Amino acid sequence: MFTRRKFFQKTLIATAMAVLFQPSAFAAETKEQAALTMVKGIGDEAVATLADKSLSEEQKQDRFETFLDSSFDMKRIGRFVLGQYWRDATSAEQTEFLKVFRDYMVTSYAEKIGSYSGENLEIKDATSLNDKESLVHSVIVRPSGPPIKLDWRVRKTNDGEKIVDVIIEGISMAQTHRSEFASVVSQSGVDGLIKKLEEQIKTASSS
Amino acid sequence: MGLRSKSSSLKASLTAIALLVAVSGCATPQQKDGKAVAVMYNEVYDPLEPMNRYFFDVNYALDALFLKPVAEMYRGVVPEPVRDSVTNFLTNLSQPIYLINNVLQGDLNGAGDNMGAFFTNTFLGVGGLFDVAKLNTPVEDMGQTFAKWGIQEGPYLVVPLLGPRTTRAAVGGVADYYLDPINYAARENDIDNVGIIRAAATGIDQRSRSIEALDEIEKNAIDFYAAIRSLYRQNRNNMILNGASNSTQLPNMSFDDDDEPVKKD
Repeated sequence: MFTRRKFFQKTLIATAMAVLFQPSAFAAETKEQAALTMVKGIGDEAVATLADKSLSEEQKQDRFETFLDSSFDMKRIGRFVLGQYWRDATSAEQTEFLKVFRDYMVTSYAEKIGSYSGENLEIKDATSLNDKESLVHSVIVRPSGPPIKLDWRVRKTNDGEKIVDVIIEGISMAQTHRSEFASVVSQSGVDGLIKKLEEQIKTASSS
Repeated sequence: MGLRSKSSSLKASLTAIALLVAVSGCATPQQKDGKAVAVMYNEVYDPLEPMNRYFFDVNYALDALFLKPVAEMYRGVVPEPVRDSVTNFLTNLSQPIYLINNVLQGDLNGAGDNMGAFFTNTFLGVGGLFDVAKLNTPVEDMGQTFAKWGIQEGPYLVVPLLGPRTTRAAVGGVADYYLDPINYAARENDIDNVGIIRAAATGIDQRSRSIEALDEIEKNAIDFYAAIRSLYRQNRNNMILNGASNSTQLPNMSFDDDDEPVKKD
């Protein structure tokens, strides 16, 4: 009888503990879970848009721009890629740079839309990077050739989950841009970088 | 002859290692003021940039004149299955040096794969022309081995004809050349130019597979040299980790004044 009561007590404590600790365990899971859901959503949408033959090239580009603005934390990425020079820049330069950088991203990725040939995005899983960020792992499965490893760095922001970096086969796009931009800024300043990006946008959109 | 070449290759390896230690000794970058500055400085560590940019331009011109047209012709004329066999053959020739490096890195599973791939493909794959084993063995070189041993990567270099290298990888490449059993066997049997022919074939093979990728990088780059430098470094680090999770290497993307990114003055 006594042992049975002890058993009940134990079960009660265990249940209480489970109830008490569940919220925190649940919250820890949601960051990665939310990131995974987000990337899955945009992945499905992107592949559907790319494969949709009824859409014109321009319509696809418009959708890509909307997608870039709504799913990427462009302010953070822009600030990151300017690195050490962000602080030195005036607020006018910062605003101007963010605008030009966004357009540069649009033009340099938009032309890849036309080269789509049946690739599919396979989302795998998500791991935690730090208290705000997770890494969603995926692979691009191609009709020919080996699959390409693609990781999405997703950050929890006030406006929900946002992508802050894309890592292709271990190569971070944000880091590559930062390294490249730093080299230009050290030679010709932030205004020089802005000019160069503007030139690049012009030549890319005219060709 | 055998003894002499052995001792000369030993001498060369020792010189190479001494050079590496000397370079990595003075390779510690000075801390400049500001954390962000120090981070960037470590990331691009390129004290010889003017010289590197010069050789980058030289290599670019040589590539445009010779390597790229040859690679394009090769891709246009030779059918894909044959080109695949060339790749397989060259990879198979590299398995012994991959194996040595895997052993030196303590990766015995990797070494086992190299052994399996080499014997299976040599005997069942007609001398390595066909990849029967399908073990997908990653490239292992002395530069990666040095990295596993904790040697610093040293300044970034653009080597004439060969292209981007960290100092560690450049010295590693020399060591690989002397350690490679295939080259050693060729020297022992007085077969000339094996190293050069192999290097040329590898160059054309790899170039023919990266025509579009490099064109695209160049087209989108606003500083092609800096873009290649960053891509090379990141790819090397990835190879050293054998594609394992690189999350620890990712840069920090949080800021002190996180909620107000745009400055107000």
